[in-house]
Amino acid sequence: MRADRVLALVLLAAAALYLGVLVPEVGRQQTALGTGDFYTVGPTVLPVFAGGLVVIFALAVVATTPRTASELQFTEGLGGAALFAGVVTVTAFLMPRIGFLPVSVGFLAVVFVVFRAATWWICALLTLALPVLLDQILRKVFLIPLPGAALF
Amino acid sequence: MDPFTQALFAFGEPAVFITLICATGIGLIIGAIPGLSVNIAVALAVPLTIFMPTDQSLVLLIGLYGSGIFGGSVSAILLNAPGTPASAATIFDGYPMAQQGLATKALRVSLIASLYGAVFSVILLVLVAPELANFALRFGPVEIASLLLFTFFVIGILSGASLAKGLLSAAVGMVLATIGSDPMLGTPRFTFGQTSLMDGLSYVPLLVGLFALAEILDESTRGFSQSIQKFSLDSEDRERNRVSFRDLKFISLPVIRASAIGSAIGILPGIGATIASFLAYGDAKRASGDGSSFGKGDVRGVAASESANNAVVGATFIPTLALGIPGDAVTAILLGALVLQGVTPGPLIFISNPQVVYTIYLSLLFATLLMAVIGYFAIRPLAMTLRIPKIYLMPSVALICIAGAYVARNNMIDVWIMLGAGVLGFVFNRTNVPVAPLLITFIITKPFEEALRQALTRSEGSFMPFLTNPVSLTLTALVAVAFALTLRRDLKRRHAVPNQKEE
Repeated sequence: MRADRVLALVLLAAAALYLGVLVPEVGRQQTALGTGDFYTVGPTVLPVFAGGLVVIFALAVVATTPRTASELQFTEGLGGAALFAGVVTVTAFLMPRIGFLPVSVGFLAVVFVVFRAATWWICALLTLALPVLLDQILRKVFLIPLPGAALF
Repeated sequence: MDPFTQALFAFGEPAVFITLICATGIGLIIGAIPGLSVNIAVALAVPLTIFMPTDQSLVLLIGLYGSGIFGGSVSAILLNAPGTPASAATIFDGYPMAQQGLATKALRVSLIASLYGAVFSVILLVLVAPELANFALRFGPVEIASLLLFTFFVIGILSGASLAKGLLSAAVGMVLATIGSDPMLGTPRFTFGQTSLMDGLSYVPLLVGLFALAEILDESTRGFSQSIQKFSLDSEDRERNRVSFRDLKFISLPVIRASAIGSAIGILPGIGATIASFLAYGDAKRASGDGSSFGKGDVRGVAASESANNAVVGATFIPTLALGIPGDAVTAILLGALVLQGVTPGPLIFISNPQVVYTIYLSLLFATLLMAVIGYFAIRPLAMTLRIPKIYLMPSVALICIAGAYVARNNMIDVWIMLGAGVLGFVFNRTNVPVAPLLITFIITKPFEEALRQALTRSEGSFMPFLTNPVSLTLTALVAVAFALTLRRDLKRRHAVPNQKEE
C-alpha cells in the first residue's frame, strides 16, 4: 500500500480515537465545572469541528490516491532517518539526567561515528567546541541555563 | 516623537544595527547552502528572539527572511541545486550561464532582480496594508471567524500539489491547536494532566521540528553527503561577466512583470515564493515571443525567477499585518514571534503598535539594501560556504534545534514536541503532504475559535449571522471557486496519468 494512504488511514484512526474518546472526556470535565447562568458555546465545539475535518480529508486522500505505486521514495534511506531519530530520542532522554554538555558531546560523537564522517579532526573540533559554545552563548548572552551536568 | 521617527532611530542603536548586518549575512549563507532553507534559518532564530526587544527580534527575523531567498540563487546558479525551493526556477537559466563561464554575471543579474522585486513589494506593502487594515477594522466576530476559516481552506487548497492532502495538513494543524486550555472558559483540553500543556503545544518547538529537524531527517536518509562541491569562479572572463546597460534594459520588462506576479502571489495566503518564481519564469518565456533561448542561459529567465520570489517577501506581510493571516510559512513563523513579543498582528496593530509596523517596513527595506551590498561584494566568499560538507553541518544544526526547543520555555517537554513534530514533518514531506498549512492553521486556530465562539454566543448558538453576512457569503463563494478549480486540476491530472501509461 502507498505511504500516503497509510498516513491517511493512521490519521483517520487517530481522529476516530480523538472524537470518540478524548473529546467526550473534555465535555464531561466541562459539565463537572459548569458554565454559570449565561449561554456559551462549549469547549468541545472546535475539537469536534477539527476532528471532523481530519476524518473528511483523510477519507478524501484515501479515495483519491491510487492503491499501489512504487514505494521507493518513502522507504529509500529510511534506516538512516530512523537511526538519526533514535540518537535524538536518546539525547532528549538523557539531557535532563546527565546535563546538556555531556549529552551533546555524546550526540555529535555518535552521529559522526555512525554516519562515518571522514575528517576526524573536524569531528573532534565540532564535538568538543560546539556544545560549549552553545552553552556559553545561551548562558552568558541570553541568560538561559541549559540542563546542568550532574556528572561534572 | 512620532512612531516612524522612533522606528527609524531604533536602527541607529548598535545592537539593532549589528543584528541587521549579522541577520542579512547569515541569511545569505543559510539560503545559499542546499538543504538549509529560509524556513530553517527563521525557525532556529525564533527561540533567541524571546529574549530580545521587539525591534531587534523583528530585524533579526526579517533580515534572515529577506536575504535568505536571494542566497538560494547562489547554489542554484553554481551547483544546479537550489539553496531554497523558491530558487528552483533560477536553475533553468542560471546553471547554463555558469557552465558558459557567466556565473558571476548570473549572480549579479539575480541580485539586481532580487533588489527590484523586494523594493517593489515593500512599496506595495506600505501602500496596501494600511488600507486593507482600515477596511478590516469594521469586522466583528462573524467576519473575523469567516475570514480565518476562509484562510484555512485557501491555504489547504492552494498550497499543495493535491487538494485533499493540503486540506488534511491544515486540519491536523487545527487539531493540534486544540491542545491546552480552552480560550473562553479555561477548561483543560487533551493535556493528560501535564501542567506544561495547559498553554497548548508550544509554537517554537513545533516549527523547529516541522521545518529544521524534518529536513535534517531527510538528509540523514542520504547518509549526510561528505562530498565537497566543486566549482570555480577564478577562470571567468571579467569583461564578459560585467552587467551592461543593455543587459539592464533587456531584463527590465521581465523584472517588472515578475515583480507584479510575485507580489500578487504573495498577497494570497499559502501559495509562496516557489510557485511565484515558476509562474514568472513561464510568463517571461511566453512574453519573449521566441522562447528558444530560455533554458540555455537567458538572463531574462534568471531575472524573472529571482524578482518574483523576492517580491513575495514584502507582499506576504500584507495579509499578515493587515488581517493577522500569514501569507506563507515564514510569515506564519514571524506572526508567532510577534505574538511571543506581546504584539497581536491584525488591523489593530496599525493603531496600537504603529512603531512595530514601521519597524517591519524599515527592516524589509534596509535588509534588502544591505543584501544588495553584501551580495555584490561578497559573492565569492558566499560561494565558498557551499563547500561545507553536510556531514558536519547537519548534526551541528540538529544540536542547535535541541537547544533551541529547550530554551523556549526551559522545559524538556518542548524537546519531545520538537522531536514529534520533526518526525511528522519528515513523514509529511515524504508523502507529499505540505507542511506549511499545518503551521499556518495551528497559528490561526486560536483567534478563529475565539471569534467563532463569540459570534455563536452572541447569536445563542444560531449560525444565521454567518449565512446572512455579505463578507462571509463572499468568502464562501471564493472558497467554492478555488475548490472547484483545484478539484478540476486534480481530476485532469489523474486522467492524464493513465493516458500517459497507455501511450
